[in-house]
Amino acid sequence: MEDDEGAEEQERFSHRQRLKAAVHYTVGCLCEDVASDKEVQFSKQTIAAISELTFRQCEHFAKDLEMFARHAKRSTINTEDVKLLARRSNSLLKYITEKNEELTQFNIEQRAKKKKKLEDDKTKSLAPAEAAASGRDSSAPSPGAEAAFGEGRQEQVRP
Amino acid sequence: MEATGGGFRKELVSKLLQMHFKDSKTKVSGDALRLMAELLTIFVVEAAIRSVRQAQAEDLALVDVDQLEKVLPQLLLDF
Repeated sequence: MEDDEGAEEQERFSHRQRLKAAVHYTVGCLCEDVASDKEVQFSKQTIAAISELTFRQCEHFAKDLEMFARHAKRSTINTEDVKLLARRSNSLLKYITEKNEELTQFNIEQRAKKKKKLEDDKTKSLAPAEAAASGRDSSAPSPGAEAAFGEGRQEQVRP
Repeated sequence: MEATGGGFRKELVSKLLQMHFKDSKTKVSGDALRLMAELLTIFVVEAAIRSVRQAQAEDLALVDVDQLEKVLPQLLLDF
């Protein structure tokens, strides 16, 4: 019994370590970009510190987001919750709101494209089905459509 | 400015957040994940750039933890 618990603890620990390493890598890349842009150098300790900082900040973000969603009686965190998270600095809130608009616009365009493709596919497959003249359901393209929509399924952003 | 090559990946952000949820049913929508990735990227870049500005104000070419420490309070207040 104790062995199992020990193993689980180990698993959690190494999972945490892997995530920290991934964050550290990303932070390193971002700092490198800033460093070359501003023509300065970051010490290794600084990058490690920013990395640790980011990792810990995620805990606050996650807990806040969960609380916001629960407050709105939802179990899925959406973009409104993220915007609420970014409220402390005006310029930050503005940036995040703009990004959100860009995303919404992008999603609308993606859906329009998929819809058009679906209609094109339907007209293409209806022709042979009619030629076969059997009572076959013309819902043959649906499985493909389900997969496409399943991937792109988003919650409608309610203001 | 679009997220540069060094931005946070959605899968990583998802795992980072999932680790701290109290309720196992809590999920994050795709759009929210993308926004969070942006937010985290900005957090890191802000920390970096503010530290750089501090180092430049002190006439240093190396950005060390001392500079980060000085900009940390305001950074955390802004987030």
